[in-house]
Amino acid sequence: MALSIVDPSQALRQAAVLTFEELGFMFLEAELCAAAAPLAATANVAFRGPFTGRLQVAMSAGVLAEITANMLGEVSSPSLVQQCDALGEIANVVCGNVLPRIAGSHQIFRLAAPVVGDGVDGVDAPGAHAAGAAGVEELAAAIELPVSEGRALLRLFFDRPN
Amino acid sequence: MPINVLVVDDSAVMRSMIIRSLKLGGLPVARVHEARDGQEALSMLEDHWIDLALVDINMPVMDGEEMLNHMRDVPHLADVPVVVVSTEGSDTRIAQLKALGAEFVHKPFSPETLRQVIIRLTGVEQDGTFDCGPVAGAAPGGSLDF
Repeated sequence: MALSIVDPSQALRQAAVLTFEELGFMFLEAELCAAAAPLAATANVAFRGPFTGRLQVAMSAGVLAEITANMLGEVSSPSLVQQCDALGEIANVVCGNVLPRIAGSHQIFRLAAPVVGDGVDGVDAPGAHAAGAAGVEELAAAIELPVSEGRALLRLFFDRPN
Repeated sequence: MPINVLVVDDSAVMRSMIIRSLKLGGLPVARVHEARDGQEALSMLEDHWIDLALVDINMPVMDGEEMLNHMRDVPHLADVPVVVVSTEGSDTRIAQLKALGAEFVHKPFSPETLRQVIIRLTGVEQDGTFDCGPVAGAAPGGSLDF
């Protein structure tokens, strides 16, 4: 099955910027000034279609709290449950927007429910893959976005059958 | 005449965003009901008068496409206007949903986009009210007076 030839990193950046700006009302900083900000929570969205894999989104605590408050339209501090919900939804929307950019809008993908975990461990843990892949996964794209006074890390993995 | 709206999404944050968009759009909404999945939504459709359903696709228990198919098979629900609000990016699948009579709004969306689609689908008109305050969404399976 022929797929569009698109740079996955470029596609991931476009989908992420669109989602952060239009869903989270967060605009990117000119440069990463808080690279050391620890990543507090991670969401994984597994997908299957012409190719399978997962999208991973991790954010520093301040960014996640701010983006959740923006999504809710509330000034007060959102609860942890709301922050996990928001992170999962952001991952879901980025995933839904990046796949057509890579594979073309005629292809059909099925997305699994987001799986949210806390801390940096979730980023690199092999067990973080929500829908067990049949083979080895490989990193197709990774971008880091400077947002507010923190950062977001997005990584796209494709499964490679054994 | 104000309409009753059913918002179906497994994300409570997204449901709140959609409800806030309805308020920002100044649409004449009487009551908003919320459901976490298609099965819960079908139950609410049986129990309440709903003029418009805003439905996500990817949900646990019963997804939006199955819910929409079920609605079209049931005579008293077949004509309820449905707007699918989803990240779905496949033209093929969007065409399938539209063939079932649903309108489609892609996430992320602006309140203006949602408002225009609802007006086009239902014929309701803006009531001129504008409330930019926070929206306390109803619990899933519950309802919220506007």
